Amino acid sequence: MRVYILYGFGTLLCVAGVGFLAAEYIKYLSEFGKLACLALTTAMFAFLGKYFDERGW
Amino acid sequence: MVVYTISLTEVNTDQPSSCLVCVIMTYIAMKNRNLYLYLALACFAVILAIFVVDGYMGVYDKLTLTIQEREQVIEPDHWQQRWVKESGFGTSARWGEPIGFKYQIQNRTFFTYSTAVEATIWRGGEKVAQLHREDVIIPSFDEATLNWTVTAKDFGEAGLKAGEYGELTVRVTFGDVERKIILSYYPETPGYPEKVPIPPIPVPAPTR
Repeated sequence: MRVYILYGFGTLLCVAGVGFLAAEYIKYLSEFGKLACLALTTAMFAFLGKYFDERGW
Repeated sequence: MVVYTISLTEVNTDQPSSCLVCVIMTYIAMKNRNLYLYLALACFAVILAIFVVDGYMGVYDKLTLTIQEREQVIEPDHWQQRWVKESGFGTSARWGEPIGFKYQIQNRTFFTYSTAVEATIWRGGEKVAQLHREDVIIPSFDEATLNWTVTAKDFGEAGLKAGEYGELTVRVTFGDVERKIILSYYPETPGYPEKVPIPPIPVPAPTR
């Protein structure tokens, strides 16, 4: 159980860190770059969802 | 060694909306169970690449102010700060002291960039003087440097007494970009009273 709590805590930190960096660097991107990043983020989460779905989660 | 034998008839044929790409993707996914994880990682890598490449590409400007012997460099990312965008970059100078401006525009694109750079002085929402105007043509991955100096005659009348200070705005524009520099200036005269010679105090004669 403690391991899962640590996993959750680590995942939360990773997401927060990536979110902070994205918020800092997004202002240097062009409008097309922002759109491409949005589309790729959506695709990335879709692929991750599909991956976990296939593993039976 | 595992040999996968699969025919296209086994792959997702119950759904009539299956396109050829979906069939191929499913086929590859059945052969490689980590395919979607790799695709997610590839998306993440491309996002990082866009952040690096797109963040570097573009047209950037750098301003260097020289007041007395000090140089203040305003880097391109400093203009992106919210408070600098809204209020401008603040600095101060003594009245009459020349202020050197060195303005660099970097063209980090694959095309030639041409624009007109204009520097003006504003006070109270009214244009006081035009400092500089120049048309520049910057080749791909090159930069242009413009220099001009602000002197007291560009400000107009100071009208300041000792201890007071005034403000004006220097606006630098090119294309649809505008940079604001708020310049506070103070008079040359010192803010403390001048020395007055102390009158001689009569020394009382010693009593006997």
